Amino acid sequence: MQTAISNQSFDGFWDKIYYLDLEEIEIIEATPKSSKVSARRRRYHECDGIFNCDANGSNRWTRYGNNSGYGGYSGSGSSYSLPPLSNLPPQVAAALQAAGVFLGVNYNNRAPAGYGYNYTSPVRYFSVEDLTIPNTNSNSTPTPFNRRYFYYFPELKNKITTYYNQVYVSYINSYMTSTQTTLEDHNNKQRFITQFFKFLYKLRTENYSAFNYLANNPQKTVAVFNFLAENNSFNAYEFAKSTITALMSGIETDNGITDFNDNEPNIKYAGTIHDFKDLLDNSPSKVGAFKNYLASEYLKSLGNTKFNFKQMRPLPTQTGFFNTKKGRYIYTKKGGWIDMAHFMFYAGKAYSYKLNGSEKPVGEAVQDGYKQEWSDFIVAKHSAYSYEDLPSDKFGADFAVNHFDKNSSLTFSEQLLKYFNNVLKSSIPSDAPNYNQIPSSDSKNNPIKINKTTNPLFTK
Amino acid sequence: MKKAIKFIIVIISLLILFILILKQIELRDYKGKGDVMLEKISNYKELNGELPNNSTDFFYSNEMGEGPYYEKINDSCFVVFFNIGFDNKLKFNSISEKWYYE
Repeated sequence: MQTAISNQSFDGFWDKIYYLDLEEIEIIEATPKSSKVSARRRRYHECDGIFNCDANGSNRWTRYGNNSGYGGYSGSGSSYSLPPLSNLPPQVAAALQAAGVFLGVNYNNRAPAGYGYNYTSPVRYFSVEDLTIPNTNSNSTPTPFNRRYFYYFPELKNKITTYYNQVYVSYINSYMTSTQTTLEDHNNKQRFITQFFKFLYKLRTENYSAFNYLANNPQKTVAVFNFLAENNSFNAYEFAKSTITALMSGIETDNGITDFNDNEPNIKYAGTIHDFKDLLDNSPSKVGAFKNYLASEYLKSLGNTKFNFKQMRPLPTQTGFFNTKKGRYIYTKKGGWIDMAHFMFYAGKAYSYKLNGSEKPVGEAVQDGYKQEWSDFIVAKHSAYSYEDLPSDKFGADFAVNHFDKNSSLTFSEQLLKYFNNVLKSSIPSDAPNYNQIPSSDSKNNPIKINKTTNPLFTK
Repeated sequence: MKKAIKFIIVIISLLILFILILKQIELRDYKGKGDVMLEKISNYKELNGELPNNSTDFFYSNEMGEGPYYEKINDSCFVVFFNIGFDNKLKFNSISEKWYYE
């Protein structure tokens, strides 16, 4: 008995089988020479009815590798786990139950601590090979993952493997890559995979063109998989279906909820100076119609900032309104693409510098713009030095300092329109030389071109 | 020397803690404003049986700042978001029903 205890790493399971005569149990190691048991007494019996008998009629303790601590500790070095208890012969199960061993197997839950041992129930680990994929005919037996041929979605083979191997580790409250996982995690993942394939089969029946669209767009399929893995609910499946249909028409409809799109800005928010004028004129405060003192105060307020603790830097507070509006990006022949959020913010900054008596308000505002791009490089790398940023800053500052007239009879939006038409030669988005290259919607990708100067690109 | 190092470590730790607290306060403020809008959307849906088409439907007056802004995606889904800085958002969507930075 003592030998068995000292030789095995049962995570305390030994005390559950205390009442069994371990001297009668045969132990055959997978690699006899390296086994700890081999160094000690080794006894080979015929099947004694305690554990499963193999083809030769002998019993086996299965050797598992050390398991990195997922779901339970398995001891250092080589260790042994029991075969699933559900496979025990009935007479043995009865004997174990009589001995007080819990056989309603839940491999993940810790058994209660007792006599100084914080032991766990025996652990069996699962890998992606244990996954099964349902077939179109729900009555037929699911196919093991490794034997499944993904005809329409070859990319799913790798995606599912990666998904399966991301294991949540509660000790560190994070995910790690592991080829083994617990029964509970396996069941959750199996449930999702089954639902996901049923969703695809249903999609094929109900909307073949949407199914075909996914089959021809592996990246979208993976994005749909990711979205559903994160939001596994009926609503999410319904939403995914409608978004796939909308995507087929090439329109981003979901404000980035699903990330099914490549998710880059521009065309979605590209417009003309007239769109932007309408935006100002019809804004909640009707700022476009402001004149004189009100227009001056509004222009000054555009440069307001607030320290943001998430990004650890001051950020604009007034220009967020323009971020997600048509007309944020305007193409001009002399100034290239203008980002109106940048334009308006640095117009406000430069105007404040001017009112405060600065000698070079445009230069100071542009310097601020450089600092912001530099800090973008640290906290928002995807948007740092985007080719339209610094020129937009410079033209905004130029408008505020050299063209905006507080005493003009024109409204704020009319003065802006005049500047865009007369100085920058405003045009329509499709006139831009790079129109076909610009992304379709908000992007977290790097800009298609970087510009570390205030000289505009894509001009005419 | 050891004392000085200890002192510096304590100061840095306190500073980090202070920043983390301020971050949480900032996030709570945003969420607080967003939740007011979410409640109005929920009330509108309860009364009318459908989602509002835009924020004026539920009498929410947007200032021209960071937000929150409302966008109806389809008959069953919407987003509420804050535009933070030039390119970032704090967003809530009715599918995941969670706030997250984007």
